[in-house]
Amino acid sequence: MRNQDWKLKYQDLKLKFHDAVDVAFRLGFEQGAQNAQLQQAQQQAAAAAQPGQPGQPGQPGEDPNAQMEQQQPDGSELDQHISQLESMVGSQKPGSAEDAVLQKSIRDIKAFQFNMKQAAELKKSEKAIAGIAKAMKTPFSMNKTATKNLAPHAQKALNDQEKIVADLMKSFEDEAAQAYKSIEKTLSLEQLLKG
Amino acid sequence: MYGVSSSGKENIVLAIERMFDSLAYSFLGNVPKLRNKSPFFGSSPAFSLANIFVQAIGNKEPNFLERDVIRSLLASSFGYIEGLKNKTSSNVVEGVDALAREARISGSHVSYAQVAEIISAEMGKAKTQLKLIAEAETTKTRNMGSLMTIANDANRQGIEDPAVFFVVVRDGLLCNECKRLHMLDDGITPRVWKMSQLSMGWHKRGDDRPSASGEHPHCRCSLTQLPPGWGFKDGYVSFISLNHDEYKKQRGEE
Repeated sequence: MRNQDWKLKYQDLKLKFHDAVDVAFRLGFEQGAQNAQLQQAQQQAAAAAQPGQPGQPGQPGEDPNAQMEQQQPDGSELDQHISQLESMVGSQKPGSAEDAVLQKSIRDIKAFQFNMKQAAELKKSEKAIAGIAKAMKTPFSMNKTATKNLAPHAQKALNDQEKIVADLMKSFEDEAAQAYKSIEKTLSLEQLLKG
Repeated sequence: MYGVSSSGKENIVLAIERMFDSLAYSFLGNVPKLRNKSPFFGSSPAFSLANIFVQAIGNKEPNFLERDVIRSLLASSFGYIEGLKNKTSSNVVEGVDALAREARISGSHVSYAQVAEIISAEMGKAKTQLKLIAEAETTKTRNMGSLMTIANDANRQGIEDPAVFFVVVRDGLLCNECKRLHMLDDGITPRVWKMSQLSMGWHKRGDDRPSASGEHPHCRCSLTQLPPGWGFKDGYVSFISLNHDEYKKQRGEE
């Protein structure tokens, strides 16, 4: 007991204590960061599911899916993960079991991303079709009062007006197609066009 | 930097000119300015702006005055189409030329898709504007024809300033401006005006008098005379009494 160097023993214990504190701090910090990420993800999911709640970014009447689309407009974050995975696969030994599993995962993720994009496109098209249908002209018809109050020649003039405008718009398409062909021919002669 | 050659540009302009001349011909008929432009413009099309005018004046041979009115209406419509033609051809030439210059600088070629994109964008704009011109000009021509008939009839009847009203044609699509100017507050009785009160130019939203040229391009409301002694019952034109004056009644002067 007498031969023991207490000072050395003290310093050794102090070092161990500091190491333990460091490890505990690092573990605590990591755990805290993970918890914060999890909490943030939960908040975002809740905001997407319940648009229009006070203090949330969504507004009443908004499409929650539209908000998700805004957050990842073209799946760029997903693209990043895919490229990261691909670089990891590159470092794997080709033909190994891990390589096959990773390749399959990438294919699945790509398919999932493609489906997501398709769904978003479909949603946009659906909205556009609704807009077109709304803007489409209803067939011309006179009300009962007009039929009685208007002279027959005035009614004929109204119907002619509809026909003339409709015919003009129809011939516009044909004439525009012809003009396009002529312009294309001119540019080909100038050797400006290719493929 | 060199883009499309001057002869190339001329050809593009010519293609667009041909397109608009053909459209003007099918819309306006055989107008003097188009007559010598193409061998195909020999006879008048079956339906044109002139036909609407003839229908509006009661499907009869136009007299000297009516001929002069239709001539000036056709000239004004032709002017609008010419303006649109020049604007469209300038925009297309400018767009294609810029594309060609960019391609030459980078040592590449212009793709069909790029040219199609420029032309379809310009044609899209031109189509919208042409529809607007066609709608506005047909409405104006139709109402001017009716106006000429009303003026002639009133002259024959010895009425200095005839009472007129607009017949609203489409219930579901009646705009607020037409409703305000052409209907009484009950929503069914047409509002009567004196012909001298009508504006002859383009209507501005909010004006307190209607225009004989129509209130807006897609306006289908039709100008009609209300003879003395006649009024309205449930919105329908009906004979009331010999001394009845609907204009005065509506303004509380009777």
